[in-house]
Amino acid sequence: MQKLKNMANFRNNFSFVPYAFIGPGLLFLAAFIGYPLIYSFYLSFTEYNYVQDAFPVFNGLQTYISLLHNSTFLTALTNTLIFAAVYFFASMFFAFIIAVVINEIDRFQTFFQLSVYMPIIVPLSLAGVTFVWILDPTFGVANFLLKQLGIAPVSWLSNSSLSLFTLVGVKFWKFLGFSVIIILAGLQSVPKRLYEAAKIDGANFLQQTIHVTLPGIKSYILMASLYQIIQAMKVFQLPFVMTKGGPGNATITLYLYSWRSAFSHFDMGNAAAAAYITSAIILSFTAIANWLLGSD
Amino acid sequence: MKSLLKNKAKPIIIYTLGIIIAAVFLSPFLWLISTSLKTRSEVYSFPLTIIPENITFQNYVYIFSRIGDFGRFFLNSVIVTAISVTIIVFLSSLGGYALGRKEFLGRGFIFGFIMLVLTVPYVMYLIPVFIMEDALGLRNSYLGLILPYVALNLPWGLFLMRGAFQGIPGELEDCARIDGANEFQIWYRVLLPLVKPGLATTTIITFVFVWQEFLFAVSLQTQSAWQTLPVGIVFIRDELQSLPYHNISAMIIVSLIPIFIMFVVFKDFFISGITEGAIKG
Amino acid sequence: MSALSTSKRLTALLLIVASLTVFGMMGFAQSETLRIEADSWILQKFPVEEAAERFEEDHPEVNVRVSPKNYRNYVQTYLMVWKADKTTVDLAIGGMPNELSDLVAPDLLADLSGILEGKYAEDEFIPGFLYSARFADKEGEPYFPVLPFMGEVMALNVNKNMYEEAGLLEDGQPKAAEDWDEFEEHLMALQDVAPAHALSVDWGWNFITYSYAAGLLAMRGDIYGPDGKVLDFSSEEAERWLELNQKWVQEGLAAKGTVADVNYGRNNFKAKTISEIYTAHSRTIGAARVLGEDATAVMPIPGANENGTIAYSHCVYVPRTSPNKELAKQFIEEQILSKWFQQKGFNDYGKLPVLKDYYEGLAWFQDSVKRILKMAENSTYFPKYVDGTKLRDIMLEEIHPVISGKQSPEKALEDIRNKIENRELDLTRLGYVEE
Repeated sequence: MQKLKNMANFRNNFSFVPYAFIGPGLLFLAAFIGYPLIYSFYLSFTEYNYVQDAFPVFNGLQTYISLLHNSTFLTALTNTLIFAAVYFFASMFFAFIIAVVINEIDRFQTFFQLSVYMPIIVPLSLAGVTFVWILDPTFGVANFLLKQLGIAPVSWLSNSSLSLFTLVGVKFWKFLGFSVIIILAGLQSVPKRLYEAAKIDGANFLQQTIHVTLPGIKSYILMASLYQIIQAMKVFQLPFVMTKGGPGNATITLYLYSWRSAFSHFDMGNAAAAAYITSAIILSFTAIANWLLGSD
Repeated sequence: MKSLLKNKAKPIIIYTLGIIIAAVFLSPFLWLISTSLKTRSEVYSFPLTIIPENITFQNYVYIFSRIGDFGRFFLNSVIVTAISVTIIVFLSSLGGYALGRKEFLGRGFIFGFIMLVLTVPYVMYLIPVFIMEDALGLRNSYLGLILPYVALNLPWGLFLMRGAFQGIPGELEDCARIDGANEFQIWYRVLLPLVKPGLATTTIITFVFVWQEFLFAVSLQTQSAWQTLPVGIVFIRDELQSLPYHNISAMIIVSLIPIFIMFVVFKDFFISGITEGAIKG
Repeated sequence: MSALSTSKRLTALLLIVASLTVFGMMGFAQSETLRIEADSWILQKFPVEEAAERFEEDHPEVNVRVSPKNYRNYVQTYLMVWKADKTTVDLAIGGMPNELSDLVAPDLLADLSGILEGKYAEDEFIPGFLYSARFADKEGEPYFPVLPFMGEVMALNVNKNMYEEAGLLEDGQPKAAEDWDEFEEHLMALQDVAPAHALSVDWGWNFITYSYAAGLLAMRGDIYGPDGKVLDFSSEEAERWLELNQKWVQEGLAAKGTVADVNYGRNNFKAKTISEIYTAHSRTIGAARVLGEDATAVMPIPGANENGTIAYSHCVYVPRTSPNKELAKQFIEEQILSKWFQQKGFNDYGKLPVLKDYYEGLAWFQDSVKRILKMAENSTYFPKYVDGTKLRDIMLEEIHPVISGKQSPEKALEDIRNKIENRELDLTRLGYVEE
């Protein structure tokens, strides 16, 4: 009955208007998102040297298989995961602390807010250029300050054990503002009376934070987490601009590997496969985070 | 007594922490400004000077007059961003209206597709878009960046505008319809003015994204005449090779000005745009 | 008379005038204009416009137009336009033979071998510059689709003042180490004098291939493996070259900064924190602007005088689809390869002339120039392979950890050989290979 009613409804009320409104947008999406999604899926099962081959040649799973045996790709995978883990936990931890501190500030709160948000306006590539300069082993202000403190100069980028974490630091600097925005909004949404009730019960600041704040801002933490997880794995600009994946392979990431495959080696099939694996990993982590943080 | 001490100590601790935090996040900017105001020899001399000994603005002049490309990068960024953002806001408010207030077949499917697209990392689209644009001769042109940027930002724009439109009370359209207005007029005259905050939010969020976008820009625009600021400045740095930072820092500072202004003016809309997802998601 | 109305007559007249103008312009463009395109840095450093004026004076019926090309990916642009049998340029200046091989393979470039006679005979050229420009035509015979017009060589750029402080000057010239033990002794003396390090070898992504090959060449006299085509990654000398570099870094004598920052070497050289850098010779000249002409010199590494060094060049080329090929070739002969043009490139910016004769009578660096010529006489070029970029990336992956002390040279070379095989790298040589 309902179905018949719906169909009648549909027939009676059908108008082109909504389609006219959403049409143009859909066209863009179909052309530049829908079609590429499908085509890159197809490409990942082919071998296609863009400069030399006239068209892609289907080769089944071979591209994926050789990719998973490629030590450079595997290094990129490991680097990406290490980067993501360190970056994510550092980001969430400090975002929370900084948001709490800022929340407690009475006067000039806007100033302190803005100072944390300012790095958002810097394009990540230019942040990379800036920090290459700051971290220059000879002329950089970072090593200069260390020298004033009596510490030997650090090879921030040429030390292959350190370079990946240097990149984490730069990304952290630029993106922390996003998490702070979200968590601060969350903090401001927790009703004051909950804190008062806790104080009456004798809770100190730390206990209040654990028992009132954290549960109260759970959905905000989830949102910030999801955002940062995706950011944590989307590492391209910093290695591209700061180290070119070096020294050796110390800072090669999945994104950089895929890009290099496509635009330096012109190996489109390989690059598409790498992109798909990357996306699959990102999506799984996002789904896991959603499930872990969202359900309870 | 103890609580009094705590009351006095707490603000001091909080403000000290605040100052340290502000210093950490702002110091790179200050260092850029400082470097840009120095002469090349002062930048590369020992010991380093934190505050320039002789403040000079010659670098700011130089980057526009002698390094010919920089002015062009600036122009490209402005044009690409302005046009992309305009189209995105326009299409989002059109589509967001349909998604938010109209019942039609496929609405759920389309919305689901948009939500799905939002989660997919957009490196996936890069290679096919590159191949497509190469075949159509769109690489190294404004359109070559504008078209993908519109597509990449539409999902978020549609999401935001849909939310904005949903917030309007329902009877307004019916009143207007009774008055004889057609659909487009209803949308334009009646509803759009009511979603101005949504429009502002969409504008600033997409502005920030497009102005800073790198992955597509570096892959599609290989000729310096068509590059945007985030890509162009990096390539100038590579070209200038040796001891370039007095100029590079000036370029970076100048390139931040438009987005700084936009951000300060639209700050609250930006914040609400970011937190939209937290509340609704 | 009235059969054709006035407006129809006017239209016909306009059409005739328009066609005449178009044909006239086409004719004008075809026979009398020589269109030259060069990279912006070339226009800045070489007297191309002056050469154009001189050519116009010598050939009054010719009009020469010089314009810059877009710096990135002009190869792809040329490829597309020339494949379609069109062209907007008659003579292109700038591009290394490696980069230009994409234009050679589809036979888009005119054969310039005819220029190589008389005073421009093959053996008048610096071999490392000239033979990188030699390719095989369809029948497998050698020919020159591009010709070098300037070049650089790998050499030791030294700070003479620091050599003096370290007691390494002899008759006012820096001492050249005869073997690697002496080289290391020099490093130790310089380390006492240099604030940061004695040496920086350029292992950046843009020089790693040259640095590797140049050391190999100096030690061994040959950079190829047993088949004479593929780069050597297995000889004792290869291992030794990497070993020495690793050792110097470990002992603090050499810097490893170039693994992260390609300009680390030259920045520190200019700032006088590093006393010598092994990279393109032109860094010396660039640094001379900051340090003073007498403060810098170009030196050979042990073995470079006998076995030569690695050279690379930039070239000129003419598309087959140009209607002015002969004019373009004349321009090359009369202007580009002329003494005044070649020497001006050096006198102004330190770019090496491609003809051995022109190394006499240069305006500065005469001592260094003599040493450069000695190295360059036996120079060779770095080979171009189909999967050359992938090979370079593999070298970066494996050699950087060696420099940082995290991997043994033996393992690195083994990994390189394995990766070449496992990833099925196509190491077909582009360019003519003598059998």
